[in-house]
Amino acid sequence: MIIRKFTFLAALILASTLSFTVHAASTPHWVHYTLLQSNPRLPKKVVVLPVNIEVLEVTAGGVKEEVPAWSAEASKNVLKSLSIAIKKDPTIQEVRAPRFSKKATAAVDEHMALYKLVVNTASNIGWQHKIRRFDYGIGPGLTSLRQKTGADAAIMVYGRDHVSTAGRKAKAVAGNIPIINIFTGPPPKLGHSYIHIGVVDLRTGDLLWMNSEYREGASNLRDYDDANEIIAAIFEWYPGIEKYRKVYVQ
Amino acid sequence: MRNVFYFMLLSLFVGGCATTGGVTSFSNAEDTGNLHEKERRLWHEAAGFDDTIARSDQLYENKQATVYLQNVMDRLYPEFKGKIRVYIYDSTELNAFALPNGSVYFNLGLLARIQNEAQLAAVMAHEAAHFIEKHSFKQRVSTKNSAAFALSGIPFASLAAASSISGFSRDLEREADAKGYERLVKAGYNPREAHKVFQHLADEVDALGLEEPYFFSSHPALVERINEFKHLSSNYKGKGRIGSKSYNRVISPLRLEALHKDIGQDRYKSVILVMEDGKMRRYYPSASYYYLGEAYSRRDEKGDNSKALKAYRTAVKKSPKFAPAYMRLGMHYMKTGSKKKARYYFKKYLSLAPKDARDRGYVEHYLKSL
Amino acid sequence: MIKKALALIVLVLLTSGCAQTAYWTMTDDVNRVVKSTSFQMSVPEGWVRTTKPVTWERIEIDGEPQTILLESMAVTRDGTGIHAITVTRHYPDTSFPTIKRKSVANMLPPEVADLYVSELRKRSGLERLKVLSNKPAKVNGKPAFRLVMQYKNEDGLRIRIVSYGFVDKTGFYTINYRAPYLYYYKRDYKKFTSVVRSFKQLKSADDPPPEIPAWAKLFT
Repeated sequence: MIIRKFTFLAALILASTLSFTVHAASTPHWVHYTLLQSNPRLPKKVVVLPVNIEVLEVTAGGVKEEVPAWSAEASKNVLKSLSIAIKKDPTIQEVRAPRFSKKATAAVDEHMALYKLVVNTASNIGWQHKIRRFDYGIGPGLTSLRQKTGADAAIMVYGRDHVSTAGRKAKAVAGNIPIINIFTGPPPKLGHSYIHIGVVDLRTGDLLWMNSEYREGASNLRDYDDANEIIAAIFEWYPGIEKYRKVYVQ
Repeated sequence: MRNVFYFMLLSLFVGGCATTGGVTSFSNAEDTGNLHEKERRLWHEAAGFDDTIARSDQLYENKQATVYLQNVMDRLYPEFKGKIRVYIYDSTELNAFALPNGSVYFNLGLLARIQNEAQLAAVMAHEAAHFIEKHSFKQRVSTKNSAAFALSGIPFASLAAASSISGFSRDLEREADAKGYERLVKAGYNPREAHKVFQHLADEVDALGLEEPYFFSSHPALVERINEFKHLSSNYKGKGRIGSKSYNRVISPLRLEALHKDIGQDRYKSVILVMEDGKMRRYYPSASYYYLGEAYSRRDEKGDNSKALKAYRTAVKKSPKFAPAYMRLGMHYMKTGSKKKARYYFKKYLSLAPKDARDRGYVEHYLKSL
Repeated sequence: MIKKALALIVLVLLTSGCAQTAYWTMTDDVNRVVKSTSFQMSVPEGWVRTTKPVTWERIEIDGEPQTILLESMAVTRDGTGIHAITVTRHYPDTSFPTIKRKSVANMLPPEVADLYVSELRKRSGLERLKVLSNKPAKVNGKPAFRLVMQYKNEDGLRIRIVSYGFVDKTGFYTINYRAPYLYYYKRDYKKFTSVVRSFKQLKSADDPPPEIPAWAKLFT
């Protein structure tokens, strides 16, 4: 059930994680230190920023190829599942994302790029003081979105899905059969799905909460039920303040 | 259970035996709207590559030059107007490449080496032929399950394999030569110029010992283009367009820019090679002597210091309004204790350099200290 | 083959739990002044710094892996993946290793700055690293350059680098600050300038450069 904080850019962060690493995190999510204070100001209204899930088909030879129609389908499923997850939580309400102008799109895209960089580092940081006082953010560059929508926070999502072709699946089966695998080689890894979700305060840019889910095997974000299940698993830990406090701060 | 086994065998068999049969080339712009599902994926990937290039500042923005290149392309392939888009790629490496979605990129470095419009058209016609004949798609289908393609998870590597960055198979390259040649002649260009551009590149690759992973920097590929184009144009009797003036009017400022970038990337050998070659040097603006000075200074072999000084002086003489050479001379005289001369050159620099010139701060600082 | 295996063992030992001291140290009142072998500086409180100077680096020269000796300390608040201040001393013979240039004491700051930019472009593969400004400066009382550079990563995020650098007879010194231009760059810029102001060379900078150790030769 609990998926450990996923090592996304292991090589990049290797130096950062050497020594004083906390092993075996007991909660998968992260909570900003301001929410750990008494009477935390949790966001009431949230806006979901554009979701782009990349679905790649992986062939027997390991060639990865994005399938645009599948990506669109997966993105739609994730967006819909997110709305359902938000509706289930009585503390938050989703507001409609505005239509972005070209200039606004560029600003959102660059903040999304910063978000990716920040969460990839933050997820792997391993420094106790940063876990106890999780204070990452992307800055107040998206405040205009708050004025436009009335939202207190933005939900930022990125993810990907690797789907194996029939040939790759067959190779995996054959790879496990003695003698036959002399000809086919060892079984290749089959698909995986990964989704990372963060809640960013639109006033301050603070990364209030984040969580991710990585699943290997048969899960498939083009399947609405799978997407829904993964999103629900991620949101199960929202906001999870007490759990986080108990494990890391006290 | 038996069915599963047959399915497995069939999948393995089908997976390993993809063929390129049945892939038809585009005959006009409308055809590009009718893509096979697998082809659409490749286009999508290419569009992503276009986006990456644009948003990570890898495009060289020069409206006049880009419009000029696009016009040459439209002249070669009028029925694909609006579908084949030409861009200048901000790199001094000798390369050009066509993506499967019709984006054709010309590196700044390659444009600087081409001498006239007919030579440009030859490379362009060859690259666009890769797009029209769907070579990326054919190559992808035929290599899809090979281990050599396993790196394609990296977007750049994937497109590198799918486009002509590293080159297509020999047969596909020959096809692009033949189709490109037809277009070159049909558009009224002199095809006898074609092999010359590849010859210049081959000479440069040889002289510099380049080992870049690019098609136009690969000696065997260039030799083959030279032979192919020589063979194709051997019976040509016409007097096609060469377009030296028009090309050099537009590209000349870019050559200075390419030299600037060459020096900034420490490709001083390339600058020395070009500027010491009288035939090539005549295409470069006279301010280029400044970069020759920079190149000697970088090489720093015996006698290079005085060669650099001579080049800076030539730059000042031939291009008296080009400021950077004055700064270098000023620095030289300051180092050697000729304060009066140093002051003269620094003052001259300040009078000519733009207000936001990068080195202005240093010169003002040195003038105060002299 | 044996050489490669030995190199791998050394690498694993160096990067694994066998290290005696922690790689990173949290800075507080007591350890704000960071001393390397030949330089020292004050770093911001509450940040994290390398406990010991890094003394070697693996780089590619003309496609061939090489090990060069240097002296380098890094400081970061949020992790080097996001931003970092790095202070590095290259020895004269390997000041600009990728472009194969040495540093000489009488080089002028703009000359050094040009070489440094070329070195950065070549070593990092950032062909389009832009120089936004290049101005004279002083570090530890010595004439230096102050370069402001920028590039965009593949996601289109602007990354800014500010470098102060100078050469003297003991080598080439740089104090670098790298951060995303959005938010992070401005937030910590003042802290970076205070690191620059506090930089001092130590007497041991005059000691002869160390010999490349035998284990490092395994890598080349």
